[in-house]
Amino acid sequence: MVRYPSDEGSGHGRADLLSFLGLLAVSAVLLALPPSQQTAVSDLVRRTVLRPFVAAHRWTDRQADLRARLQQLERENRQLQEQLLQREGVVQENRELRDLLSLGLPRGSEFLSADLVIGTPRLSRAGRFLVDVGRSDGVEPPVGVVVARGVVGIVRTAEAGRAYGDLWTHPDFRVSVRTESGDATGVVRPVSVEAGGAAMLFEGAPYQRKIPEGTLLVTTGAGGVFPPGVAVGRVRSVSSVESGWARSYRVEPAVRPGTVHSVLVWRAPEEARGVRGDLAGGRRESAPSDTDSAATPSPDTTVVPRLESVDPTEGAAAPAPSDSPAVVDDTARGGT
Amino acid sequence: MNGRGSTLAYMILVGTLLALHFLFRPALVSWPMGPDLLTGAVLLGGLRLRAGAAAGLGFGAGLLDGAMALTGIGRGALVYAVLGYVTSRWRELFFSDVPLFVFAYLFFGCWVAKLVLSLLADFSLGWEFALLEAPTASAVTAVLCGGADRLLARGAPG
Repeated sequence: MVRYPSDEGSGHGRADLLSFLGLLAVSAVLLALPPSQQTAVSDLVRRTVLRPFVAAHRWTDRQADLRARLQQLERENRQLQEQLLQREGVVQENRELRDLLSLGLPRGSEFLSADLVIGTPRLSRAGRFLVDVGRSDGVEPPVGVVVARGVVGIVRTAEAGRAYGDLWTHPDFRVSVRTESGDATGVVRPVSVEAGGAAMLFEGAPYQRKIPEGTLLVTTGAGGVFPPGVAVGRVRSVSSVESGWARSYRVEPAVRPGTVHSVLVWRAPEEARGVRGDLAGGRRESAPSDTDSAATPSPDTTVVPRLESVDPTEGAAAPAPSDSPAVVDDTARGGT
Repeated sequence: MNGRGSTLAYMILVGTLLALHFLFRPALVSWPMGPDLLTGAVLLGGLRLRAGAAAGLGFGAGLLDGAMALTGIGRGALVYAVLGYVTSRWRELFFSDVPLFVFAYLFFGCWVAKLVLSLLADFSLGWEFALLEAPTASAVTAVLCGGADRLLARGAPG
């Protein structure tokens, strides 16, 4: 049990009352002071009696600020690390897009920018791809897919919002080409190499004109599937000589499909579409609808062996059988 | 522990409560239902000190609190001086031997002090503050300060 002290009979009652009245008077004076003078008194008290507490509050505030700043810096650090990880891909994509924008295009040409996905599970065959543009974007297959460096492949079928096609590594791929100077024309098709990769074979080059190594082959634009002037590859070496009338050359492709993510799908000008339609209609029974790239050899077209084995160590493709020349159709040649 | 030693221990307790109040004031005032250690200290001092000293304790505590709050230094000094003097002068009126007396004394004393301070500050009284925040904070104050008082009382003789 606590016994609280009693003031009864202590004789301090009057003194306590006077003290209390004095404190009330001081309080009343403080209350009556103008705000500036009250602030001055407050500052004096804070600088003297309350100084340790004020310092402790400042230290606490500073620690809280430092903690908040530290958390902010940690967040920024994480974001910067994430951006750094993404930077590599962004730089590559930016380079590709800038290259695409600076691509010299034929007058009236129009390209659709698209992302290309190679070999998705739904595409059961190797060498096929999917792009995220389709008929709703104006894609009318067959139509070429390119990047600034050169030919990538061809769109075969299109749905509303996406399209499927063959990379140039696909056995069915063909493209009509010419040398940069225009003194030789022919057809380029893929060939496999023993190492499992793919290379190109330039067939149908004139026998009497030897094409030097390093010569750039570009599309002719015949048939309206590819725009003219797009790089296909560079001549590397003679592959075979079909005595008396043609030569074949191994070609170093301008584009390796595995390195491509952003592509351009060509939307040919009206004239080119008209040519393509006329040619397709006129040769419906004897030739594929597109002459630049023969998708499906027709019964009366000489069938080219789809994939030839090439020994990479020799640097030359195996010669095609003499009874199956590497000719796709007449229109492809005629267009070159 | 004799009477003087007991009073000294209580003054140390009051000083500790005041020091804790000013040390943690930013956190305590940011929580509307946090304990009011300043009022608890003045109320406990009113039980042990003579009326003049209790009034001086209240005046000093109110003055320091006003200076710390930067909201004017006269109002708190006046209210706490009155609180200290009244509780010390009239403690014989409501003193009880019931051990829980100090808790009830702290609760109601703190509640009244908060209501008066709020009235003097805003000349109005919100129901939420008067019936929810102030009594809750007063209860927390009563538990903390009353608990310390009871702990100290255990060591006191008789």
